[in-house]
Amino acid sequence: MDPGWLFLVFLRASVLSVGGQSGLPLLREDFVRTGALSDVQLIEAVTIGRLSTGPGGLYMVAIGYMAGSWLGAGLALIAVALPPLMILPVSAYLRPRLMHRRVNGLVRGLALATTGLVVATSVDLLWGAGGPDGPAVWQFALVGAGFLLASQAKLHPVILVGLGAVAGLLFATQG
Amino acid sequence: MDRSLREAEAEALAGDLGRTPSAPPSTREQLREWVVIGTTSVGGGPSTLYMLRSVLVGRRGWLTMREFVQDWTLSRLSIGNHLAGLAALIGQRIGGRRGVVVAVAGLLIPAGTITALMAGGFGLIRDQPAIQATLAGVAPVTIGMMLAISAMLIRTITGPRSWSLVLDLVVFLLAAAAGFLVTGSTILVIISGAVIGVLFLGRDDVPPETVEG
Repeated sequence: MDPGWLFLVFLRASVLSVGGQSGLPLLREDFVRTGALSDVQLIEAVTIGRLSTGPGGLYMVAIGYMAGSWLGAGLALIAVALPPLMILPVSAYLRPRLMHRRVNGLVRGLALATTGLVVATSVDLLWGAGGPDGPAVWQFALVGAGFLLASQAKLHPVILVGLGAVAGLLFATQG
Repeated sequence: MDRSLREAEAEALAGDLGRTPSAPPSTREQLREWVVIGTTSVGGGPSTLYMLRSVLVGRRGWLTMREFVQDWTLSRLSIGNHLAGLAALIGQRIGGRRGVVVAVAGLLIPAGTITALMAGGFGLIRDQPAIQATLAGVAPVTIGMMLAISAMLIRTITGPRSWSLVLDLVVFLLAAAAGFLVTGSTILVIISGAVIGVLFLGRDDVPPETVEG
């Protein structure tokens, strides 16, 4: 895979993302729709990102590794690190304008649009991960359980993933 | 955002939660703490934010709570990863340009290396039948978690007044529908969201929060 293309793909996703996982729809367009990675690999990368250390958004590094080994991971990491630095030169301008209508409207509009895209991508990924016949009933139940437990924020993400793993071992091996 | 940070933000924006920070730390000290934060916060943004506050404000006293909350508020306007933006702002405050490099590199490089190692290790075992069965359960839980984060984000950014709440939800639902129905529409949806936000979604209150995944 061409390193220049790989870097630009991650940089674009990083620049246009608001918050941790909102680059996912763009990366899915670039990697899954071109056949470079599968939906299952994308979910694996998100899972690894949740289990790993550091800020959210490092799932891009896992995707980079899957697409281009250590070079891909390094390029993804650079792409994650560079765009936020743009806040430094504009911070002096923005500090007194944090309450400005157009500024908070811009952030609100971006956040709503990217969140809508993340929801659409999540549902697409569920179908992609469910196999040729789509997700099983118990997998829908796990989506609901993951949603409810994560919403309550009482269990650490690692525990939630562990519970999903146990459920998978129990139900998938019976199918 | 937890309650104490929300209260602190309001106080910081109002102007008074300062205390005198201690002397500027050495580059080595800064690097050590950023690496500690990057490698011991597990599970994403909230955990990292907690570590940043607890280590840099609480334990080391390198910046005041007021400064931390101001930088955190500002970082929510950064493009890309907000916590990397926050690290850059705090790093600049603590150590100037060198502090920025130390902060962003210390936070991201070790954590990114761990993530890549996990991806590599996983690649070695992913075809095992037991791992495939495990993934069949992990994938839907992860998707449920993604949806929960999205719901939290929607709850925190939608407006309190009825008309603005409806407008926010319409923008969100249109974006989701476009994501479902129109292949390759992602960038168009993001740009449209930004334009609609500037024109119609601005409010005279604190900036909207975003949730770090």
